[in-house]
Amino acid sequence: MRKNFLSRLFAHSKPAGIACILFIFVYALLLYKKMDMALFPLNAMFAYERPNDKPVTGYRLWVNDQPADYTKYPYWKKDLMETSLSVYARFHENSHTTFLRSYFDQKKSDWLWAGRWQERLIPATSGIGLWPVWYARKAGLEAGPGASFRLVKYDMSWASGRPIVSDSIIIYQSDISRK
Amino acid sequence: MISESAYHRMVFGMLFCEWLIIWIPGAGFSGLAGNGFFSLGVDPLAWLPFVTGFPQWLTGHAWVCLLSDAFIAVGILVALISPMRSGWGKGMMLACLLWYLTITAYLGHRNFQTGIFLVWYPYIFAKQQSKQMAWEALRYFVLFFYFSAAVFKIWEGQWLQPQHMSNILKAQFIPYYLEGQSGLRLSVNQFLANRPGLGALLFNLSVLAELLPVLGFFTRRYDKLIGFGLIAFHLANWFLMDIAPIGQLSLLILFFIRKIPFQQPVSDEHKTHIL
Repeated sequence: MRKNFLSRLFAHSKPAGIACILFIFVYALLLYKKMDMALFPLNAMFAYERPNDKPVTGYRLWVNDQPADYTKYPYWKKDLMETSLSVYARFHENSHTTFLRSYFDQKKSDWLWAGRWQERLIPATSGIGLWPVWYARKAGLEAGPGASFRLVKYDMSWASGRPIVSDSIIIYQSDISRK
Repeated sequence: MISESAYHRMVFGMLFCEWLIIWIPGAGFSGLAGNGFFSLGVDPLAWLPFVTGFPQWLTGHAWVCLLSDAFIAVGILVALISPMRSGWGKGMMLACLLWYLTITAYLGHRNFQTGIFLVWYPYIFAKQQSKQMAWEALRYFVLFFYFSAAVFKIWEGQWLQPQHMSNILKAQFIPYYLEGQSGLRLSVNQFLANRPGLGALLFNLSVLAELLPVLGFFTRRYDKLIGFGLIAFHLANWFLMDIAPIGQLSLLILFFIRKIPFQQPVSDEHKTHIL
């Protein structure tokens, strides 16, 4: 009779068997702690309740009063631009704070060893300033010296069988001058 | 079901196509050049390369990014020709993992397409038996990954909520609506979002597709069924939810091989490549 995988793995290599058991244990612990985004993420995708009573939000960057549209692009580029835009927008909405910065602040910064390395895990201010130029270029728009950027948040409500804009607010506006 | 030699060719052939679909539209390393904004999650694994400052340095140098993309493309082609080079496998797994961690940090979003680096796992070992055990471990992990996704949905009770899928669908195509797009996918999106019952049926079909892998823990007899179920699940996700399976398809080929690979003695041709 064929032995099960773990028995065969232990017979083949004890360290590999121990590593496998350890992996199962750590992963089970992470799931128990509801850290389902750790190690191998998103197996909890779409498992949690979605609020029905709130409008859905969308973002759009305007470059020199032209919309930086991206849904015409092939999948990966679209995904890159869609999610990067919403994360950048949330960065502005959260008083220029990234998700991890908030997390560290919440954990009083001394969680594990991360405190010493925090600065490298947060984008540099100079890098953050480059984002709109990079985004405009990806959307096929020119963003030379003096270009203006406007990042708008839209609330979308579902009415008459399709989504319509119910509200909008400018969350970031800037003119840049590049040397 | 496919033979072992066809399996290796299919895995790396598919991986090469997936990489081109990522690289050419502009989502490889070179697509990130000049972007200084990233947002990491709480997963310490994703922090590791950023602690060294390497991804930040890489995205600041367009030519290095381009070379890195080309290296991955050539690396996959080398593996297509000679899949048994364990040293090469290690390097390529590391390169693909670095790309995955970099793109997900710059996306500020985790995709499920971990297959892009996981697919290399069995190829990083030198001994045939180690490769075989690693392949089996990988198969069990993939089974667990999908099965656990179904368990989450059932545990949280969303499979019983008729409105759940409708609420998800209402958010999936927002950028298209903002841009004033139209077409078949948006018509289908509106049709399903306005019919919660039908949406719930589709949601539960997806839960079923994700539940199927549990059979694989006990037997390999249903692997083809599991594989087709998961590919159908991903293609439906692509059309209905705008979530493409690029980066995951080469991994799912493991459900279509007749026998567990790496059981045959290494041929003379491949012996020279084993480190």
